[in-house]
Amino acid sequence: MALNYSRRPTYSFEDTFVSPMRVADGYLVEGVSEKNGEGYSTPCHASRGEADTWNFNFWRDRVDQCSLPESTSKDIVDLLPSDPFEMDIQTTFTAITGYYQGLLSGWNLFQNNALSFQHFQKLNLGQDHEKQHMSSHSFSNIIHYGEKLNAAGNASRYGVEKRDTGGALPPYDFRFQPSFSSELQTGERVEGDADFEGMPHEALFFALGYLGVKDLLSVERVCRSLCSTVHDDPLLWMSIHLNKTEITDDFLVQLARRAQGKLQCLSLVECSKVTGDGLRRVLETNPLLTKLCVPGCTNISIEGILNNVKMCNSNRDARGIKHLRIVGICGLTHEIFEQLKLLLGAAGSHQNQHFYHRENRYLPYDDDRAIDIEVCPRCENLRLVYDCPYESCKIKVKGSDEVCRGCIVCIPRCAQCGRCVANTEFMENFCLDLICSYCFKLPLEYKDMEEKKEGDPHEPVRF
Amino acid sequence: MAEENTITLKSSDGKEFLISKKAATLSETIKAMVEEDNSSSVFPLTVVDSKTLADVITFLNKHVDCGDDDDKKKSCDEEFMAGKDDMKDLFDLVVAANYLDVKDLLDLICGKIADMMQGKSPEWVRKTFNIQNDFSPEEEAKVREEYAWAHEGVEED
Repeated sequence: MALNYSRRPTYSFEDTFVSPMRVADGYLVEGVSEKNGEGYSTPCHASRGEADTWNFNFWRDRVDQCSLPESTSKDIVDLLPSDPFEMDIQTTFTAITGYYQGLLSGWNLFQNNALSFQHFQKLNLGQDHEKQHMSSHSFSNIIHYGEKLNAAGNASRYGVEKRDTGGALPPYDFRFQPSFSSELQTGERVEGDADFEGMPHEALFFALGYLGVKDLLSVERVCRSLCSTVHDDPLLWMSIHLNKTEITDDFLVQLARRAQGKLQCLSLVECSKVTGDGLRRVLETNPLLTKLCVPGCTNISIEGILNNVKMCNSNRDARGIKHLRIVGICGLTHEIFEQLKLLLGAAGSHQNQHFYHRENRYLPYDDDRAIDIEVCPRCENLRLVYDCPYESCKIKVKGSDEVCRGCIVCIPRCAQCGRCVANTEFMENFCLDLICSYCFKLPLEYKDMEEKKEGDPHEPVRF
Repeated sequence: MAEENTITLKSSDGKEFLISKKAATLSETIKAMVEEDNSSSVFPLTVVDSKTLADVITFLNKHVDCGDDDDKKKSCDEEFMAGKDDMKDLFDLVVAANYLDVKDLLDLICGKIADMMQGKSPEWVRKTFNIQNDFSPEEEAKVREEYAWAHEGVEED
């Protein structure tokens, strides 16, 4: 590119900036050329300070050209030192940036006012005021355009505008934006927004309360309004049930934070990555929590549980834990068990029957019992104790009748129906579960069973 | 005497339904209306159309017949829900149940909708409930990654 430097200083500054193409000939250095790269038009007007800088550039160009004999090479721009007189051009640019920043925050506020007015209209007045709406709308567009022109003054200009908007308004978080915010920002109208086409039906929000944690997190990905509802409604998170997940402490704390301190029931079944520390962090922020279920969470130690329960139940502001499920946690001793029982205030409270089932080994979280572990009446180990589905079932031990009640080691039970299999036919399946002869034959004889439905097929075994 | 024990509910499209007072007052809203205005026997319900109101009245009558028997109620509810698969009808029922403040009905329908949504992908939810995806791709990716561990076992898009 041939540069006619000798002509340049003969232009008046005004002339130069009114017709920027003459200076935009590849000689504009650094930020200015970057700005062109952003796709913005060169500014139609600029401050006097900026003009001075540019004038300075002309001089620099000339001087450099004189000192460099190979200046005729094609990439002359690359050969120019960025700041030959060490006058710190960046600082000058920063000063100009600051000047624009002040100017633009005014613009932004003004523009946002126009937008919020438009927003208000849309919500409350609807289509009756379409004409007025359009006028304010196009006005905001004009502002936007003007801002762009104005904006293209220097390198960091665009970035400044972004930051500036962030500072002047609450931080932009897409979760909290109503769904039409994006179209307002781009200044375009999306068809059908007036009648909320594509928005979730109000009835759907009622159904959210009946969804589990995983489904709630899935629904969160559907659209913005559902996302903000799911994220911000603490009532949806008052009880958290997770089954066999890979949730870590940090995610658990993050999830529990959604309850905003209102968490009442935390049930983590076989979530092996959760530790006692994670539990402590959740319990500290949720004083209303009364049910803590962590069966099979192998990464939590029994000391961790004990400390957490102590912490909760000694805190006067907290309600204290009333129900605890800790089966599968290692290291439980009789001593700790007694301490836990004391802390929970569980002295011989009435217990509902609990039957064994393959899918449901653990005591359900909505059971009334304070603690799931019991001293097995037979082996006196601390285990889950199951009842027999047949109330009349008695097993003869040492000559006397005893209720068929004990841990799964003492009384082997059918994995399907929970009955004891000691004195009846049974088989062991691939998973080492025991299946009684009745349940084993069930699929084959299902039709027969349907026919003679009147009689109870599960006749108790007589010994 | 018969008139004292029945009231008339008028739907938004002008149809009238006779219902026993006992059944009607299972709805907290109607109960409050009746207590407030003892003299009149016709109560207009401006937000419930006739089709939905007919369903609600069927439900209320069934529950009055069941009394306090929970097992009976359960089988009644199953009978009531049989064949109710149209999403718009279900939504109308939810809105009506909420307006009339019938907790059992609200629980029943919302439970049904929640069961349908269980383990489904966000795309399925959008299609079924006719919701537009208004996330930008970046936002969608962000929400998705935030709880990546939770999306195991949930249908993919």
